[in-house]
Amino acid sequence: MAYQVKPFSKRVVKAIWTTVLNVAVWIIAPYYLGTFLASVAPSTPLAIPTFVYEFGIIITVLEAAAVLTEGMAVSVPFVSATSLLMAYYLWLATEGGRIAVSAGGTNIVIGFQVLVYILMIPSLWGAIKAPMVYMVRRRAAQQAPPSAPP
Amino acid sequence: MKVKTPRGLKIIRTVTIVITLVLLAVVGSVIYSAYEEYNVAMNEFKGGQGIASTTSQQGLAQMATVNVTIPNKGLYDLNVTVSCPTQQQGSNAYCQSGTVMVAPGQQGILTFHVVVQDLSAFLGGNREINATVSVSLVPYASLSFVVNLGNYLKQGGA
Repeated sequence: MAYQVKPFSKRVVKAIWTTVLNVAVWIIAPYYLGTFLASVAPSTPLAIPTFVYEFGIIITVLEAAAVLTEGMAVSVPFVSATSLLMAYYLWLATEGGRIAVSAGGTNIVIGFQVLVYILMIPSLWGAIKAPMVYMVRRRAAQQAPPSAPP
Repeated sequence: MKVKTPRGLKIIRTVTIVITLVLLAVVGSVIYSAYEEYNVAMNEFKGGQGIASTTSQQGLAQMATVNVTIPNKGLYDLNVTVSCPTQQQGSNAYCQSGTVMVAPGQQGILTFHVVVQDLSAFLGGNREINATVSVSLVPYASLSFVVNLGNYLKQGGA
């Protein structure tokens, strides 16, 4: 697996697609979910539009920056920061795994802390994985024999 | 010339795949178990099925013992608890907590008591006996809500 930085034009195209996808996943979808939740669980952070916009914009910007700098050392903090922010966002959006919902005049409390911890693991692993992958690929590129001249 | 994938990268990918598979298995099994327990709650207690009660005299008070048969059709232990607040001085009616842990594929009986000091006063006046019902898929998820047990008591016993 050679250590290569893709051409700038390819990275820009990929960054544009990544931005569009992230806007859909981290801003538009949570906004509509929050609109629905505002009626049954008004205290949840997802029901607050500024919460959705702030985190959505920051995650989108970090993801786009990670894609634009893909293959470079500077991409590692962007990838790790994105992963950590996703884990933090999940924690806040689920209120630590404890949500109060109003349904049919009854207050229901849903607890799922252990599930939230488990759901955070992939993001936390992603934050750790980014520097490890970079170091492994860089070492492999340094150890690879030079390509033979044509 | 094809470059060999570094061993470190293979290990990282393996760990990533394992984490993803474990996550999918846990979340999928919890959703399945929750769905099965929801079906049980909606279908198996219709018309008071699975709920039996007996009344007895305790001095001047009437005590209703309620037994609820709870099947567990999910994949995890099911814990059902009826938690009653500490009896307040002067209160005419109160409940005593009960809990049951049911293993997957098994049935358990939840038993709790409702005590009414003055039945006629209870039936003609304040029929509030609040209890918190908690249902947990141990250890992943739980659901709790407050219910007024007085709404389910009829003259002559539960």
